[in-house]
Amino acid sequence: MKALRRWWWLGLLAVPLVLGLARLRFDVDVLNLLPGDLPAVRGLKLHQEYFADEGELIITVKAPDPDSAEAAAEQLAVALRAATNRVERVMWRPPWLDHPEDTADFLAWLWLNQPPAAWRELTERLSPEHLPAHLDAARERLGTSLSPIELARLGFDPLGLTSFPEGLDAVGGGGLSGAEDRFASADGCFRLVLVKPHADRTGFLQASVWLEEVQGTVDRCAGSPGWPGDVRVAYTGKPAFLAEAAGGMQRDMQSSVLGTLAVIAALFWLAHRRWGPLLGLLAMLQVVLLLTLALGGLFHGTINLVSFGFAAILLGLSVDYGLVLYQDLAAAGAPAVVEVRRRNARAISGSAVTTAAAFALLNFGGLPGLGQLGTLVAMGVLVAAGTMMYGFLPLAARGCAVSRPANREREANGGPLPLSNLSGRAASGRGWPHSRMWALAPTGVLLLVGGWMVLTRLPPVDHGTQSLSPRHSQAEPALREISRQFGRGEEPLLVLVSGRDEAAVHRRLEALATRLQTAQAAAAIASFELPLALWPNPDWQRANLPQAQALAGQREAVRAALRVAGFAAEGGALADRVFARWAAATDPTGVIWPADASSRWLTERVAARTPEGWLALGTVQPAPDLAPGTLPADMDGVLVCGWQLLGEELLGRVEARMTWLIAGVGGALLGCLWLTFGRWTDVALAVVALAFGCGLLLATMAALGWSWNLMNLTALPLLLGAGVDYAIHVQLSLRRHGNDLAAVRRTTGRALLLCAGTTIAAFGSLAFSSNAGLASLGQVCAVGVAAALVSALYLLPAWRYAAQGNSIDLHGDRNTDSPRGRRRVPKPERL
Amino acid sequence: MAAGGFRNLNGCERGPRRLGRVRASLVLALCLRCLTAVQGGESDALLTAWLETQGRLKTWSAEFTQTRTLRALREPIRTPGRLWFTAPNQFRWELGNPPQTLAVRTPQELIVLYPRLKRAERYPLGGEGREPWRDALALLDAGFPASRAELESRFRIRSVERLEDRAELTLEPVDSRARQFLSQVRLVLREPGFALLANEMRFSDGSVLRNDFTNMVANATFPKEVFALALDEDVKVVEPLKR
Repeated sequence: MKALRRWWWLGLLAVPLVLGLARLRFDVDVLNLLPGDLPAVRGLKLHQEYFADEGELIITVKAPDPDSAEAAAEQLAVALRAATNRVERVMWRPPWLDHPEDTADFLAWLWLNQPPAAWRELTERLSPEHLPAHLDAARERLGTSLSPIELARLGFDPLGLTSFPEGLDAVGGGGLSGAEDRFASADGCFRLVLVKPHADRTGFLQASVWLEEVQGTVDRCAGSPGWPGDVRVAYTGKPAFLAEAAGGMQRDMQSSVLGTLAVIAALFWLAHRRWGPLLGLLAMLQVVLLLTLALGGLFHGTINLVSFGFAAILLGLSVDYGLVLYQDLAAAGAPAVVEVRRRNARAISGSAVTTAAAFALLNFGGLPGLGQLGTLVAMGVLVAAGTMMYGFLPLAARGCAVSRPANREREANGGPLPLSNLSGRAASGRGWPHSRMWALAPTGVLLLVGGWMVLTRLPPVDHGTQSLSPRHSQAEPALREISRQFGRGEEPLLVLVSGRDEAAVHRRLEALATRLQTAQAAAAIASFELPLALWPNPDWQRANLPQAQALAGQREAVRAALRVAGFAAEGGALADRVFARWAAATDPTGVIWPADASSRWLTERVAARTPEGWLALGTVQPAPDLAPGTLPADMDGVLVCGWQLLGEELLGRVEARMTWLIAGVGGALLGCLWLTFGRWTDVALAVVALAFGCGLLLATMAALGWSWNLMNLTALPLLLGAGVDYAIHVQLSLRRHGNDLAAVRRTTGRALLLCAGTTIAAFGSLAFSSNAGLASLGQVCAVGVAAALVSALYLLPAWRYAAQGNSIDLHGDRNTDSPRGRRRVPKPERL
Repeated sequence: MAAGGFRNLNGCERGPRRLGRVRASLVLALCLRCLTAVQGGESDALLTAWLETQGRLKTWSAEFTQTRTLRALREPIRTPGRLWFTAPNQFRWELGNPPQTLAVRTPQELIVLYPRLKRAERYPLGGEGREPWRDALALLDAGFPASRAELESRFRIRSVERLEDRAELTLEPVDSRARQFLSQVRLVLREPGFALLANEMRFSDGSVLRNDFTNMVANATFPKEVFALALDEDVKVVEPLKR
C-alpha cells in the first residue's frame, strides 16, 4: 500500500505513454521532410500521389543482345503476373501489343477529343461521295509505298482513322506512338518491367517484405532453365526507394542508439568503474527514449525519416544530466539524494530549457523534417532532466555505497564539482606556458594551417538535393542507368496543371501550350510535352458525339466501299471496332474517358482525379542555361516542379531562415554571456573561442572535402549553443580555481571531455546514417562540438593568459580576476 | 517385354543390354551429326560461293515486277519497276511506270520520293540508333551484302536450299525489333552464277512483298545521275524517324 501511494503517478504516466506509442507511425517519404508551401515540393508531392508510374517498381533488365533482354523481360513478367497476391499489374511492353483491340477504343476516344474542324474533315473524307476516291488512293499507296510505316498503317487503316490533324504530337499527342520507347532502349538491350504492387502492399512496413518477395520470384525465374545468360537485373522506383529507406531507418536507429550507448557505457566505466549506476543510467536513458517516442506519437503522430536521428542526439545530451547528478551524489554520499536533487535542480532545469530551446529553434530553420527532429530532441531533453533527477538519482543512490569524504568536504566549501575524483592530485597551479608567445603558439599554428585550408578550399554550398537522398542506394544508380540508356540526359521539369473539372484543365493547358511555344521559339526552353491532345474537351466531345454516331451508322456503307476498292476484311477491322465504340457511346452527361485497360494505363500517366478536381501532367525540357522567370510559375493552376528546382528553392529558404536564426541565437548568446561574466573581456574571449571553433570546423570540412548543404547548415545554431557552453564553463572554472589551469583541466576539463565525448559519439553515430543529409548533419555537429571543445578548453585559457598577462597566477595561488568576477562566480551549469 | 522386365529386375543381362542401346544411340547420333555436318558444309560452301560472286559485283541493274500480297487486300498488286545497284551499298529503285515511287540509297541516307504526292522522306542510316523502321528500310538492299560479316550482322541464315537450277537463302533479321515488322527475307539465286532472280520479304502480319527480276545486267557503267535524286522545290521533305 505504501509503495502504491508512492508510485501511483506512474500509472498516470502509463496512459499517455500507451496512447502515444499506439499513435506512433513512421514516414520514410523524403518529401514530407520539406516545407509543403514551396511550389516545387507541392508539385512533387502531387506527382507522387496521383500519377500511376510513381507507385510502380521498375525492374531493369540488361542483356548483351536485344533478344535476351526481351526474353528475360517477358519471362519476368509472366512469373510476376502469376503472383496475383502480390502484384496488381505487370507491364513489360505497351499494353496494346498484348491487346490490339484496345487500340480501337483509344482511337475512338481520341477522335471524340478532336476539334470540330478535324471532324468536318473526317466526315467529308468518309462521305459516300469521297470515300471511293480515298480508298483508291490508299490502295495505290499500298502498291507503291516503300515506307514500312505507311504500309503497316494503310494495311489495317485504309480509312485513315489513325491520322490526326497536324500538330497533335507537338503538344504531346504522342499517345500510342513512341510508347514502346518507355520499355526498351534504342538498341533493345535494356528493358524495363513495371510492377504495380497490390494496394495493401504499399505501406512503410510492407515495402521491404514485398520487395523481397518480388526479388525471390525474380531469382527463381533467373534460375529457371529458359533464362537467357548474362542478364543483369536491378530494382528502382518508389517501392525500391521506400524499402531502402525503411530498412535504412531501422538500421540507423539500431546502430546509432547502440553505438552511442556503448560509448556512454565505456566512458562512464572509465570514469567511475561502478556497474550499478552504469546499468541504472543505461536503463534510464532507454526510458527517456521510450517516453520521448511516446510524446512524439502524441504530438506528431508520424515520425519522419530524419527525426529518427533524435535518439542518438538525445542519448548524448541526456547522459550529461545523469553524469552531473551521479558525480554530485558520489561526492555527497548516498543518503543525500534529496539534497543533491535540490542543489542541482536549478542548474539542470536551466540547462535543459536552454538546450531544448536551441533544438526547438530548428523549427524555424525552414525544413519541417528537421524541425520535427528539433522538437523531439527538445521534448526529450526536458524528459531526460526529469527522468534523471527522479528516476536515475534514487537508483544511483542505491548503487553508490561509498561516500567520499574528500569530495563532500570540497562540495561543502563551494569547491569544484564533479569528476575531480578522477584524479587524486590536488590543484597545483601549474599548466601554464612560460610565456605569452608559447601560450599563443598553438593558436598561431592552427590559425595558419586552418586559414590556409579555408582560404584555398572554402567548403562550397551544395545546391542540389543529394543531401535528401539515401546513401549507398542501389535504386539510385538503377534510376540513373535508365536515364542513360534512354538517352534522356537531364531530367525534364514536371508541369502540373490543375482545375476543378476537365474543361478548366483543358483551358489552362491551351494557355500553357501557347506560352511554352513562345518560350521554345525564343530558345528559353528546349522542348515541352503537354497532354493537350489526350485531354478531353467536354464541349468538343458533346459536339463530336452525334457526328461520330452518324458515322457509325454508315458502317455497312463503309464496308461495302472497302470491298469494292479491293480491301479484305482485315482492312476494315479497325474501322469496324472504332465505329462500334462510337455507336455504343451514350450521350455524355459528364465527360467521356476511355474504359479499356490499355488506354487507362496511358491516360493515367498524364491525367489524375483529385479531391479538388483534375490534374494534368506535362514536361518541360529546360534550355541549358535556364533563366529565372522563364517557366510559367505565375499562371493560375500551373505548378512547375522537379528535383533540380527543389534544391535551389530549399536552399534559398534555409539560407534566408538561417541568417535570421543565427543572428537571433547570436544576440541571445551575447546577452547570456554578459549576464554570466559581467565583463566585456570575458564576453569577447568567449565569442572569439566560438568563432575559432567555427573556423576549425570550416578548416576540417575543407580538409575532408565536405560541403554545406540544406541539412547540415542547420547545425550552425546548434553548434553556437553547444560551443558557448564550453567557453562559459572553462572561464568560470578558471575564475573558481584562481586561474589554476591544471586544476581546471583536471576538474571541469575532464567533465567537459566526458560530456563532449558522449555528445560527439551521439552526433558521430549519425554519420553512418543511411540518409545523406542526416549523416552530414551528424558529421558537422560532431566535428563542430570537438572544435568548440578544443577551442574552449585548450586555446581559450591561453588567450585569457595573453589578454590578462600578469594578473594570471602561474603558481597556483587562488585569486579571482576581479572583484566583480569574484562576486559573480556561479556554479557550473550544464556539463 | 515381360521377360525383359523380369530380367531387369533380377539384374541379369541388364548392363550389357543397356550398354548396347547406348552404343546404338551414340552411333545414330554420330551418323546424324555427320549428315548434318555434310549438309552444313554444303550450305556453307554455297553461301561462300555466292558471297564471293557478290564481292566481284561492281554494278547490277534489272527490271522487276513487284508483287505485294497484302492481308488488307483481296488481290495481290503487281507493279513493274527498275533497279540499279552499285557496290557496296548504293541503289535506286523505281516503282511504277512512270515511276510513282523512287528510292535512292547512298551510304548516309535513304531518300524515298513520291513524285505524284510531291513528298520525299529522308531516312538517315548512319549513327548507332537501331530503330526498327531504319532496319526495315535497310533491308531493301538485303540481296547485295558487301561481305559475310555484314550479312551476318543483320541476318541469321535460317536455311540454304539447293534446287535444280537455283538456290534459295532464307534469312531472318538479327534485331528482334526489326523482326516485329519483317519476319523473313528470302533470296532466290540462279545456279550456276548466283544471279539474283527474286527477293521476297515476309512481314509479321503475313503480307509478302516479292520482286522478280528480269533483264539483269552485271558490271555495266551507270551515269552518275542515277544515284543523285534531284528534288523539285515544291517537294516537301520530311524525316519520319526524327523526333
